[in-house]
Amino acid sequence: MNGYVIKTELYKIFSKKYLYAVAAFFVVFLSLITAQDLDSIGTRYSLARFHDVVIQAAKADDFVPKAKALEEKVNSGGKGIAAFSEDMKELLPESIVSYTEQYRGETRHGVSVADILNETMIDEIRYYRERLDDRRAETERLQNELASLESKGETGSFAYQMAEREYQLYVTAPQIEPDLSRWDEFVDLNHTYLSLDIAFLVILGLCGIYSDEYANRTQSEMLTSRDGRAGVFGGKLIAGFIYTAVVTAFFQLVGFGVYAVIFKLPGEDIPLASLPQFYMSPYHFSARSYYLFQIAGSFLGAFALAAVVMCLSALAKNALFPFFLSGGFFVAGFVLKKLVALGAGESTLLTFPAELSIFMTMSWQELVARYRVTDLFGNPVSTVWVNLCVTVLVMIAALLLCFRFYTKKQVKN
Amino acid sequence: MKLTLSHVTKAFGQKYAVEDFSAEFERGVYGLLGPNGAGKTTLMRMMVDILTPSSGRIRLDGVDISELGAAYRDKLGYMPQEIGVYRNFTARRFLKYLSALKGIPSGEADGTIVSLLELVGLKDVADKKLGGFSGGMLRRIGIVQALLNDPKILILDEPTAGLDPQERIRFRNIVSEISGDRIVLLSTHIVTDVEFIAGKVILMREGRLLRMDTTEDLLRSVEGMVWSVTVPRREADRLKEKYDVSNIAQRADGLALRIVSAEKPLGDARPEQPTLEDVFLHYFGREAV
Repeated sequence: MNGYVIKTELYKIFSKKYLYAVAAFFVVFLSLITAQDLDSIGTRYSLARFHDVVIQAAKADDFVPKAKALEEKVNSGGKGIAAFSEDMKELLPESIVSYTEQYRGETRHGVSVADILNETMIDEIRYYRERLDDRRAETERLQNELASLESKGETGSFAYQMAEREYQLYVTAPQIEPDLSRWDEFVDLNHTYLSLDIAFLVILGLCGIYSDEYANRTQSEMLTSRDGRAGVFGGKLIAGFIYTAVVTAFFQLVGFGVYAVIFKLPGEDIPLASLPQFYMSPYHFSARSYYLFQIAGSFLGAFALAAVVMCLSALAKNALFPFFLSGGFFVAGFVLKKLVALGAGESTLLTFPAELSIFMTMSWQELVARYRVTDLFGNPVSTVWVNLCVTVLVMIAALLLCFRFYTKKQVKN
Repeated sequence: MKLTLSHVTKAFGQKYAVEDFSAEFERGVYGLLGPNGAGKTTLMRMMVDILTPSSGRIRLDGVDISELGAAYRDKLGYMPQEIGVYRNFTARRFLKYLSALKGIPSGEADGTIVSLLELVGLKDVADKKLGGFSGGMLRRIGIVQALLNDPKILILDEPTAGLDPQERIRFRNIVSEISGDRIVLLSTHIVTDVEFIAGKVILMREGRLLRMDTTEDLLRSVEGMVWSVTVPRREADRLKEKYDVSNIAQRADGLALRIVSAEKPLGDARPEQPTLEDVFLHYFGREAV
């Protein structure tokens, strides 16, 4: 592999000034959107110190009914939470109240910060308890389902194996904790902003990687050079992947940096299922390990997308065709994910386009938030693994086709 | 070294761009002549292995060029009809990149690029962006890139198109200088380019090989068929209708016509020494005009 070829291919990609403009736009957009949370209660007043207090308070079986009753009183009273300051203080542990009362004099939109914090803490304890109860109920449901299937003698069935594995995951999962960290924000980064930003920059940067040679009419000179076929393919592949890695790393760093500035660092690591959007997840990820898994998925998905874009570019006579087709391919996964409700259960032909999409590889949320399995010759396999394998296969297939399309290219006009 | 084309055909749908073309090339300069649409570019693209023949074979020393692959391309220099460049690259950077693609070590490439740029008179603009180059300068860059790897087979598609007379002379001299032990095939519309430097001329029409011969033999083939005659304008119009006229010049006593015809066009017509333009006109008739 000739280093000068790789260097030149990198120069061709990185010399496109509009890529920097688009990247700068995305950075500004992410910063502005996130900055709106700069003054939010959750950002300004850290409640992480009450982690253990919330766990203890949630153990009381009467907390949730009392909290619901108070909520009804507040909703029907028409006077807002300020009128129920004493009721809220009564419901909360002393340590929380003594902390929040120091903000009694501060107001936001005419409401005492102490009241807002008290309401926040009541919700936190209540929802934590409800999440615990829901997980317990799901575990019991699975236990009953297994007993029912056993009584019918269906222990060899796919349904039994699926329920059994999910049940085992639930009973061996670490106990979920209150979500007083900012991990919920950090794990949302790849699900909302970053995957789309990265995909757009990858597509924009690579859609012309081969088709521009056609448009520039340089491909005849390349294809008739000794190393102008496999050598160019290798050079473009390495340069394309370096560009993809740089784009992905850049946005991951920017995303983390912006969030760290706005929300501060995410705090102590907790089980992933402690985060509201993952509370029914049977998987044993911690929030930090899941975040790292997302970053790894972001790189893998970006590489697979880069391979698809390069493959389409090798087929095309201008950059618009690969831009729109690969853009459509990526966005389809994003849109289908929204259209297909992914609860727990078996993945089907209807849900595969969303579940096995590159977007899913770069965000994971719908696949990890519930137990999604694929029937692989009668064996239940987590769809997370199937997605990983499919993404790798798509990448390899795209690269093989790209090699074929480019090296056997016919120059007709 | 022998490059052999055996019954090479290229069809695009129902249309034959090249049909049953057979020829052998050994070292020397070959001029490929034919009117527009004769199939010259398609033939050259097949010879440089960027277009696969529909049928027939192209072999170098008995081995199919598609099997030789990189080994064939290592011997090849190709200048396409339309030179492709990166407009934001300097000439040196562009040529360095193509040198790398041709497998030329970096240190060696630097020297080769400088000497070739000097050969085509572009040494002073080596570090200028290609976006600012004129059409003629870009064609010279095209010639340089084709020569970078000191090719044994040099295929040039319309290399002199867009060059001014001075540049064309320079180009002809370059080709003559480098033609030594190579196969050089060049296509052109400008017959005089071929006349001066080609050892053999290939005439091609409608995808088919019409004739392949030495320049001398081709000239001999129209000997006694070239006439000059000076006639009044009205008579000139009649002659133009009836015969192939390769040249018309104003004279004090009328129009001087140069006519290619097997029969003597007028009683006072004088026989002339044929040129390759007359040959071209003889074989391609009004298509050539």
